[in-house]
Amino acid sequence: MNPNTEQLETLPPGIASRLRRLDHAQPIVDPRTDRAVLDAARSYFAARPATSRPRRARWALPLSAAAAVLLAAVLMRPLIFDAPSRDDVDGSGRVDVLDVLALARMRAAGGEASGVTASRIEELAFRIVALDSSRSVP
Amino acid sequence: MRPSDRRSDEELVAICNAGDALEAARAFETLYRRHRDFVLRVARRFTRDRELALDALQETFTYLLNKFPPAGDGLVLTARLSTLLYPAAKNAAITAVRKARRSAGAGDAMLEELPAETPADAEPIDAALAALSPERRELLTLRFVDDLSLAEIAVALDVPLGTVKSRLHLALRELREDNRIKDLFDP
Repeated sequence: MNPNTEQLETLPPGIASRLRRLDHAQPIVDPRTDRAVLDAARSYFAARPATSRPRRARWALPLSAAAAVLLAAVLMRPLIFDAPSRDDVDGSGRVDVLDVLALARMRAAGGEASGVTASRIEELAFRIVALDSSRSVP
Repeated sequence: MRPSDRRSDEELVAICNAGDALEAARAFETLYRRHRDFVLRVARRFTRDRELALDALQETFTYLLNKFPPAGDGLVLTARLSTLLYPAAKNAAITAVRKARRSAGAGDAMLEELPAETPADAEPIDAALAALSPERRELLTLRFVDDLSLAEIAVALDVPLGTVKSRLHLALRELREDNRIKDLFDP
């Protein structure tokens, strides 16, 4: 047997509607059954926690605030606690070869009156080159 | 239930699986209201009795409920929910009939023994449908009343798709060859 798909999908409308009527298509509404089923469902699911979302611990907020304050203090530490270096002539926050050049220019412009001695420039230049030319001198 | 709840059965099942108590109960209620009439019709088909059908309805949704945690492992829908509810409702209905017959002293009886509802002065169509075997009538009902696809019927009845096709073909051929309604097929 080789059933034809076209035939399988076809049922005369008169027969189909009769079949529906025979099937008691009218729903039998019964509020008591509805209530029984839904009450059972509520009781069944009541065993679960009221919320499945993870609860935030009571101490989470104060802890977060404390962490934020600590982080801010660490980040701002150079501004609050570190005194500016005397050798940071250009105020860049680090002492490097540019400060040596700035000191040299100040001495060239003002001579002894600038307060910058040649030995200070040499000492600073030596420290920068001797330690690490790529890093700032503290 | 929210009347305009447009969430799919899959979404509602997922909430029943993992939602909190309130969400899960609401999702289950939506599923119940959405499929109640279908389950009731199926139960009525196999019991032909209102009270037994209502018992089967309750049993069917208790069965569904127990699929979800904490008692169940959770439900994963691989086909329409009606294909899961259909066999559950059918079994619950048959069990309800058996129980009723036992308590009435009528012994155990299979579904096949239930007579088709055909009054003596039945229309030719009714008589032709009643003459079908319960399996063939069931197949026609699933296809043309419940609007299940052939693949869904195969899942609901737990038989291969090819079996559904050939059984449906035979059912339609039987009707087509019935002299009482032959003219309906070839007007």
